[in-house]
Amino acid sequence: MSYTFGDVMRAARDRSTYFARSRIPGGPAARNASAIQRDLLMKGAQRAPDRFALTTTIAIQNPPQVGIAQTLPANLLVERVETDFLGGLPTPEKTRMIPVSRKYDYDQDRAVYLLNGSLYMTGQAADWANVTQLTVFYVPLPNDFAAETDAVTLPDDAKEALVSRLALTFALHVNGMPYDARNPTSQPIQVDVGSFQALAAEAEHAWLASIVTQVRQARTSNRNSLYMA
Amino acid sequence: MTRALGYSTQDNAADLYSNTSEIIAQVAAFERDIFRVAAAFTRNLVVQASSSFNSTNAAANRTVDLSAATPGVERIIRIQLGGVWVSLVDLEDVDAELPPRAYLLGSTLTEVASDWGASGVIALVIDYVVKPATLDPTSNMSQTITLPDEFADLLAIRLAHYLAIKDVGRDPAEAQELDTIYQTRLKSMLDALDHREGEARRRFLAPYIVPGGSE
Repeated sequence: MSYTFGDVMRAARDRSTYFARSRIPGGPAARNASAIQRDLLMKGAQRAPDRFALTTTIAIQNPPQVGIAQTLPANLLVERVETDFLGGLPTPEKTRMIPVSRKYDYDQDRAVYLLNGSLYMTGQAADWANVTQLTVFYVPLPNDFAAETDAVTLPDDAKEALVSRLALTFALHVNGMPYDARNPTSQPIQVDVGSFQALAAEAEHAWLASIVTQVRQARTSNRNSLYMA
Repeated sequence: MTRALGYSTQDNAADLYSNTSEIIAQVAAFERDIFRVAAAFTRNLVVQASSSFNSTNAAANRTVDLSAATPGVERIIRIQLGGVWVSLVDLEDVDAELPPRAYLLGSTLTEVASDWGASGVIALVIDYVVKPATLDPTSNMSQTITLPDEFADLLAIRLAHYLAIKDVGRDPAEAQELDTIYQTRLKSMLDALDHREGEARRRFLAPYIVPGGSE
């Protein structure tokens, strides 16, 4: 089952009778949930990028587009790049990813670097002979939530972490707010923010720990460790 | 008015009530007040369910004029656009909610940006608490009030109160007593409306109950 932002928002509202829509409208909830999702996805990807990675390919043209910006999909991080050869042989090789400051060291060699969200190829045209395409493994940047029907990018097992952290932002939002919105001097709402914080931290830790556990259990059959996380 | 006159033998002076347009205008104001108080407290007085309103024909910032709605709109409960709820937002804080959104200025409902979808006329379905039907002060006394019969004595008590105040020299205690009776009956009406739905299940505490009434 894939959850929607509406599912997450409703579950977070369930955490307190003070989290009604009249106190926390959908706009702030969506923006907070978007930021939390990005944060959790980044933390998850840092632990197991393969689990969240998508691929895109860049076809090598004739002449090869050395030094020309290759636009990538919006992403949180580029995990790795593979070089694919004509006829599928030799097997794809891991492409060196270098910092832009070292591009002159690769004037005569194949490598790629990232600059301002785009991918650049180094070397000379001859260095890319027999190369058909680059396969880029990247963790996509999730879209901000704009409707309750928007799907959550995080996997289902992250729902508790997402809900708990969203509930924490709700608690911070309403804590101290006047109980009666039309009477600012009325008794302020008092929410135990510390408990929400503890629950959010616990849920996030549990999810990230499960990712780490899965990584540790992963088996690799490739000697060059290309597919190791 | 006949019922109101029954509250005091001193109301029999014809010049107290002979101006029918005055009496009709007062009854109309009292009735509006009752609907206003009830609408702030509960949605259960008279609700117009799922009335359809067409917007202006445009690509963005379309408007829906609610001023000509029959019956009139006292309090909007919810707005639906093709099965999706439209969020009412404040003009100065349209980012408070997710699209589709609308804000209300006067009696005009206005689309935020192009939230309502493709250009053209859009049909909004609105559930709302109604205003009472307008009573025409230039017409006669046989006009029908909107307030359900079980609560109609509220208008009679209010009118009797008005006549007592109007009658110079009358014992002020009488007006006070009528006001007390009115407040008691008004509370009784609100209680009746409130408990009609039984014990409603709600996840949230209502932020406030808006005090109503214009008198």
